[in-house]
Amino acid sequence: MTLQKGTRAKNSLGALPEDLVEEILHFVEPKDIAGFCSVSKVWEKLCNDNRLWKKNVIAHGWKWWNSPPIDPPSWKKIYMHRTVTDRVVLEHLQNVLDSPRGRIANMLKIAQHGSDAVDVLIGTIDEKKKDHLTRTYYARKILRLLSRQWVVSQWRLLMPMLGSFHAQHIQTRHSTACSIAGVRPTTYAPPFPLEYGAFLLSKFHSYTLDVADVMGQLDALADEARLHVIDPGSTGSGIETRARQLYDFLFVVKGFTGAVQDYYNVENSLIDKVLSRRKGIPITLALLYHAVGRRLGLQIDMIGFPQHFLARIVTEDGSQWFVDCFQQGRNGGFRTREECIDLLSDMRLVTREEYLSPTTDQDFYTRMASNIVAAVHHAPDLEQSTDIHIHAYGAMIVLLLLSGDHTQISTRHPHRRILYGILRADVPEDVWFAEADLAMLRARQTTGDSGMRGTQATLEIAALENEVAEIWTVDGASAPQNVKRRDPDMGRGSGSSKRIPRFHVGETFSHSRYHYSGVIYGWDLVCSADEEWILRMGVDRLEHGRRQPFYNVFALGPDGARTYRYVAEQNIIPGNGDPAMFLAHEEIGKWFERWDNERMVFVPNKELREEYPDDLGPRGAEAQ
Amino acid sequence: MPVVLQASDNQQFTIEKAVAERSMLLKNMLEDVGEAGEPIPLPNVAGSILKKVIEYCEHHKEDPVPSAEEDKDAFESSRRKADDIDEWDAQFIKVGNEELFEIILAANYLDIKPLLDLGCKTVANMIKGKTPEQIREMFNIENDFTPEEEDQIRRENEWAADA
Repeated sequence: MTLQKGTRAKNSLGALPEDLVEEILHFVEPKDIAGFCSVSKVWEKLCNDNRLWKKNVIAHGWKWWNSPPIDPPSWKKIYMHRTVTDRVVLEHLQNVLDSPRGRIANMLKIAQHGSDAVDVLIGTIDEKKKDHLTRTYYARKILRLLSRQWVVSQWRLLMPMLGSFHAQHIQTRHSTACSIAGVRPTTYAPPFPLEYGAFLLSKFHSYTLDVADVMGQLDALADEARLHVIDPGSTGSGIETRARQLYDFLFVVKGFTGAVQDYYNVENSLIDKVLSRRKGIPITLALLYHAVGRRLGLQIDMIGFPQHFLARIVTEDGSQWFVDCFQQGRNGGFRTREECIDLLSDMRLVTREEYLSPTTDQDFYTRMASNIVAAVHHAPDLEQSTDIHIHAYGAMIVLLLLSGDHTQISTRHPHRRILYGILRADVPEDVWFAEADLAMLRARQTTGDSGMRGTQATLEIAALENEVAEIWTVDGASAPQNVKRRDPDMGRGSGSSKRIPRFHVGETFSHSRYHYSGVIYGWDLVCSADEEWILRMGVDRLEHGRRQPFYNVFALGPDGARTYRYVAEQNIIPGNGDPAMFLAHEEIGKWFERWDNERMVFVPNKELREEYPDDLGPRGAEAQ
Repeated sequence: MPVVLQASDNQQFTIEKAVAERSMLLKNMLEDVGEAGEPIPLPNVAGSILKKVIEYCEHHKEDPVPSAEEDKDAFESSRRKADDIDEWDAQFIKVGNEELFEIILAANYLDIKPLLDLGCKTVANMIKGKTPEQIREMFNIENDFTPEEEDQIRRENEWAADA
């Protein structure tokens, strides 16, 4: 639909005044606007309008930024930068999906974009592409990697400020608001409130957690306390009265309570979970009391009392109350100094001033992180759950960072070997952390740090370096290492005792004896476990013994607990799994790209197809 | 109380006040002059276009009037979508280029935001995916760049092309 040339009609669109063309451009796609810059000088001016591009940035809905654009000189440049970044990230993600070779290297290339990579990764999870399970699995894996990297960088930023007592940089207000709608800041300006470190401990494993949400919940509690509980003319009433009122509000009215039943649940140590579950351990509840109190202008100190963390207030006349936020007991949780000293002697501890004095931020966070490690040690299903390993791993990283610059460090830091072990097994993409840590250790060694001398230290470092080297070797290896054919003797004509597996990767089943449901993601023609396992499991007592196909399965118990098992063919009852229960677990994407509702199987992803080329699901095999 | 509008060609239209008040210009005028009953002259709008504009306002007279505040919010928070045009509006705006042009100008002059948006969305849909050369043709615009300048601008904006 073009105007006839030469009409030059006065009443043609070309005669529209500039402000109306501008108006029209507000409805045009950004990529067209960029393209129209070369129409004419007037259009170039209109198409580069800063306000227009600001709207385009907002409309695109990017929420996570390396640094939020408040009022940059060129919104068009911002738009261009994010658009190009999104494209690059998706290209690297495709490489991650396509091949295990170089996967870690590609994940780290994405991580270089920091928070700018977050929106596009979250966006790709929502896309219903045909490989969406695998895509989601890796996108989330990278999002967590980004979250961990960011958290570590935040701890490094915090570290120099941690030696002091928190009361010295009390801040009653915080501000995270961005001037443009919908943009979330990913950074938080110092001075940091004490709860910021607690937020970082949670954020380590939760990429969607936003500091504004945590702070917002604390603000809301403070607002409610101010309106309904604390005397309006609070300046008139004393510190003790207000502290008691706040205590009642939080631990009676709002129902925050000590987690007596499940003390070692790791969620009691995570501030976001404490806020949502209203349950915590002494240190997290004391932190809650402190954080809400600070918003109301009350100074509440954190006291590193042995075994049981306390809060403290100092009244106008200088007398002290030690506050137990975990259990109220006599006098509503408020104890005198003398009562605390009695408690110490009951515990057969010598009274040391540090037990009854405010902790430094560093000690506070060290204790929080140690609690997480302890909680993980006490977890009932430690072997089964990667999630819980990651919490311990995150806490150990914090402990390592916290001890890093101040105390004498050794390669034999109790957590370092465990940490490297988890890193290599569960999150090898965190090789960046190990590399930075090793560089620091080596630097200490050359500067002659006393804890780092001697052959022992050299050997320890060499062992850690090996772990890192191993990660890169595996990442660089061409895959798959061993291709599994369904009939390895085919065409040789010799009678073989090996049987062709009846089942295929992607099939669901239930176990004939233990009744759990599972998905097959691998098999061996005969039992390939080591002799010790075979004897322990009594494999030879099975009807078909060890010379029958065995399957690698991802299994879900009746309580939804996931395990990895190795199952004999004779125990498999096919086709009994409900896909929904498996789809709730993102690990399913490690092997499968989608659920095929027609064939009732999970479709193996590219990587698994290469390993099991004959296993394209039952129909694929029948068709051959 | 009906309102009488007089177009540039002296054609007169008698309409309900509620219809006239779709136009912020008329609404303010009516508030200022009160109920004089005199025809309101609209020297910038031809009778044929005014008829069309009144048709639009008749159809939309029940619509809630967005407050200035809301309008600003909507403006700030998102780029408005060019493709959410309802069925009646889509039929209504199926007109030739010249008439479309006149309607946009009239909507702008009379300050009828939803009609102005409708006109702008329609033009936006027309130019979607077009090359600069096609835009020049559609709008009768002369290319005032040197080939070098044009080439440079094109390269600066290449990032958007393969999106």
